[in-house]
Amino acid sequence: MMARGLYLWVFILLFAAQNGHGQGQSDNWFDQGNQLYKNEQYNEAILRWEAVIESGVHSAAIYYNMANAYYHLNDLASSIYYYEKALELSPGDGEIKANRAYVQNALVDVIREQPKTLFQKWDEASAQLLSVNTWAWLGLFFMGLFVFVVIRFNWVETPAAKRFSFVMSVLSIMLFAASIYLGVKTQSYKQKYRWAIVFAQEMSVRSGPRLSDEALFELHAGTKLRLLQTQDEWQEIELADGRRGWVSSQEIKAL
Amino acid sequence: MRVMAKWIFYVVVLMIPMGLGAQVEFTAKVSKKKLGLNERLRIDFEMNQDGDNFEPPSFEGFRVLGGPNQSISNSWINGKRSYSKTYSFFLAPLKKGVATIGQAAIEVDGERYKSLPVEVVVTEAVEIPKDGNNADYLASENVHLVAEVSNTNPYLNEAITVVYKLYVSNQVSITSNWREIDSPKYADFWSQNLDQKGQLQIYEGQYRGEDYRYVILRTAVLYPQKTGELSIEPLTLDVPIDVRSNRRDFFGRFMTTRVNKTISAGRRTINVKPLPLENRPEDFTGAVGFFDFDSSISRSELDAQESLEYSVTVRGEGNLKLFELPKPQFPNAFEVYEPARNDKISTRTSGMRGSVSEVYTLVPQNQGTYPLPPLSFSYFDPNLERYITKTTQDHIVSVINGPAQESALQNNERADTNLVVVDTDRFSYIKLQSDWLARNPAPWFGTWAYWRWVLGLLIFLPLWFVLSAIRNRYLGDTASRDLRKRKRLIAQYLSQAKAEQQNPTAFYAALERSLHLFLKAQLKLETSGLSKENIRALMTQRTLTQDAIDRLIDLIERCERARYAPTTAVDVQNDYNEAQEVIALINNTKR
Repeated sequence: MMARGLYLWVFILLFAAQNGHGQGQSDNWFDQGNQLYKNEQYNEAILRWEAVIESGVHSAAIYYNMANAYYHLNDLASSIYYYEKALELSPGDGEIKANRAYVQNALVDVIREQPKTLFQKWDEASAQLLSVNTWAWLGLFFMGLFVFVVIRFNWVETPAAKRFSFVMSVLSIMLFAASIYLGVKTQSYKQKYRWAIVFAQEMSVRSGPRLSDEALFELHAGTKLRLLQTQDEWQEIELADGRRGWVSSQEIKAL
Repeated sequence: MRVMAKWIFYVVVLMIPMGLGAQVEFTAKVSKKKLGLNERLRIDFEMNQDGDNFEPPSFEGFRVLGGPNQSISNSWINGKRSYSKTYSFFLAPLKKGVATIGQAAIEVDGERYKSLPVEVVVTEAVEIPKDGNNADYLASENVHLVAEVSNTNPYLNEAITVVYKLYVSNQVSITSNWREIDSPKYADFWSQNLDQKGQLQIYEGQYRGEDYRYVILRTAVLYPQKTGELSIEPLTLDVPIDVRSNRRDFFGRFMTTRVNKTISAGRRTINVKPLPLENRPEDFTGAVGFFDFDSSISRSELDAQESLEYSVTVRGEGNLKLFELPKPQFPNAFEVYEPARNDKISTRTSGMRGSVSEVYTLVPQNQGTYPLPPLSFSYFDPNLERYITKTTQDHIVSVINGPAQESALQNNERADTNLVVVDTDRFSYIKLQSDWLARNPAPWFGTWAYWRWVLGLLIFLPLWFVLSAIRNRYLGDTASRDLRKRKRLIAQYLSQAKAEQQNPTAFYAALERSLHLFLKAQLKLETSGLSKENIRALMTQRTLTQDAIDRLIDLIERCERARYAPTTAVDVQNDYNEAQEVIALINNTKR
C-alpha cells in the first residue's frame, strides 16, 4: 500500500514540475496581454496571448480574452471561434456565454437548434460532463478503492466492518466501470463531434464536393458547424438545425 | 380695193398658222423602250384631231393586259385650243428579243392616218419590275428607311443603339404623316425607345453617295439579353409620298401624285458575344458598363429601437435597370425592412446613365457593437474587356443603450446561464487569472499505459492473498487459527494464574483478578459495580447464554470460596480449564 502511494506522489510531483516549467513565462506574457487590452491595443494583446498558446499551454481564460479582443476589432468570426474554444475547456462559464451572446447578436445567421429528446439530452450531457482525463483519473481512483476494500474485507474481523467492506467493494467496482464507460464515451464523442466556425464573409453550402454542385443555402461568418466527412478540399458539414451540405475547407476553421 | 385686198391678205396670212396647226398628228408612245420579261409596257396612241375608226395593231409578241382605254383632253390656253385623244393599252411581253409594235390607224375627215411602228427590246426578267415614269417606282427609288445599328457585335448586356432614318431624295417630298404598320420587335433585347418630341428635325445627308434629306424617326437603346445571332424585326411604315410628275397644273407647276408606299427597314442581325468566363467574380450579377459603387449609413451611434438607414448605390453608365444590387447582410439583432428602391436613370443614345440605390431601414434590438460587413460589386467593362470589382468600406454601428438580451440563438442555453449569476447587461471584462493546461496532451486514457496503471492496482489483490497465504502457512492452518487466537487471549488474561498453579491460594486470587479484568475489558464494567447481580444483568443484556453466565458466576464464586476457605478440596487444573472455556465462550458469543 505504501509503495503504491509513494509511487503516485512521485508521479504527481514530477507532473507538476514538468507543468510548472515555463509557467512564469506564460503568466508574464498573459499579464502583458491583459495590460495591452486595458490600453485598447487589441492587436498587440492578441499577439502576446498567441505567443502563450504557441508555447504549448492554454486555458479558458486566455481564449476568452482573445475572443473579447477580436470582438473589439470587429472580427466576429475569430471572436466566436475563441469563445467556443474557451467553452470547450470550461463549458459552464456564464461570463463566456454572456459575452458570446453579444457577438452572436451581431452575426447574420440564426440557426435554431433542433429539439432533442430527453434521452438525447442526457446522452449529450453525459458526454460533456467531465474531460476524458478526469474520467481516467476517476477510473484509477475507483480501481484503487476497490483493491483497498477487498483487502480490508479480509483484514477486518467484525461482521459490520466486513459488511461495509463488501458493499464498498461492489460500489467501487461499479463506479470504476462507469468511469471507464463515460471516458470512452467522452472520447468517442470528441472524435465524432468536431466543430468549426465559418470564417468566410459569405459562402455557399453545396449539395456535393464540387463547384458545379447546386448551392443549397448561404452561410455567413461566425456560424458554428459540425464537421462530418472530408474529401480533398471539401468538407461535409451539419448545422444545429440538421441541414447538411459541402463547403470548401478554406472557408471554415476547425476548433 | 387695194386696201381691201391688203386686209384680206393679212387675214389669210394670219390664218395660215391656224391651218398649219390643224395638221393631223398621230403617234405611238411607249412608256419604255427596254423592259424586262416580267415588266409591263404602256403604249399610248395619241392624236391631235378627233379621229374615228381606230384600228389597233396586232401586238404580236405581246399580250394585251388592258385597253384600249380612250381618253380625250381638250384645253384652251390663251385662246389656243389643244386637243388630244389617246388610246392606251397595257401590254406584257411574251418572249425575249426585239419586238415591233405595228401600225395603228385612224380616220380623220375621211383620210386614213397611220402611226409609226415602235421597236421595243425585251430583256430577261428583272428583279423589280420598273416603270420609269411610274410614281410607285419613283417613290421606291427615292425614299429609303434605314436602321443604323451602332455596334453589331456587342457583348451581352452592352448597350447598342438602333436609329431608324428615313432618307428622302430631292425629287420627292413627304407632306403628310406616315403610319406605322409594323413596329420593330426586339425579342431577346431589353429595349427602350427614345421618341422624338415635337417636330421632326430634317437633316442633310448622303445616301449611297447622293444627296438626301433625312429625318430620324426613332431611336432605340437595346441591351442584348441572349448571346448568339439575334435579329431585330424590321420597322415597316406606310408613307404617303408626293411624287412630282412631268405634268404641270393650271398654273404651270409640276403636278404631284401621292403614292402610298410601304417601306421597311430590313431585318438586322446582331451577333452578341458572351461575357468571358475566366476571372468572372463570384458576385457578378450581370452589370455591364462603367460604374461607381458606394454604401453609407445615416448614423453610426444610436439607441436600441431607433432606426438608421443603410443605402447601397450604384452610379454610372450601363445596364442599370438590368442587374440586382448586392444584398447586404445584417446582424440578426437588427430588424430589417424591405429596401426602398430609388432609381434616377435617364436613357440617352449611349445607353442608361444615372444611379440606382436601395435604402434599408434598420432597427437594432439589442445593445452592442455591430460591424456591417463590406459589400462588393462586380461589373464587366466592355471597353477594357475585363471584370472590375469595387468594394465599399465597412461600417460600424454602436448601439449604446438598450437591452442586452440574448438572441433567439441562446434560448436553450439561457437556462444554464441563469444558474450562474452573470450580469448579462454588459459586456464583461477579460479574465486576469489563468490556470494553464498543456495543449495537445498525449492521449493517456485507453492507451496501454493507462491499462498498466489499472492492472498495477489490481495486482495488489493476488499479491496480498499470496502474501497472507504464505503468512498463514508459516503460522499454521486456518483451523488452528481460532485456537491460537483463543490461547493468546487466554494467555493474556490467565498467564498469572497459570504461573501460580502450584499454589492454590495465589492461583485463585490471580484467577479472580483475571476474570475481573476480562469482564472489565469485555463488558466495559467498572470494578466497583462488580456485584454478581450486576454482572448477571449486564451479561443478560449482552445476550450471553444462560449457561455461560452460570458458569462464569460459578467460577467467580469458587474463586472466592477458595480464597476465604483454602482448606476445601480444590481442583486447580479443572478450574483453570473451566476459566479458559468460559472466556472463550463469552468472547465468541459476544461477536
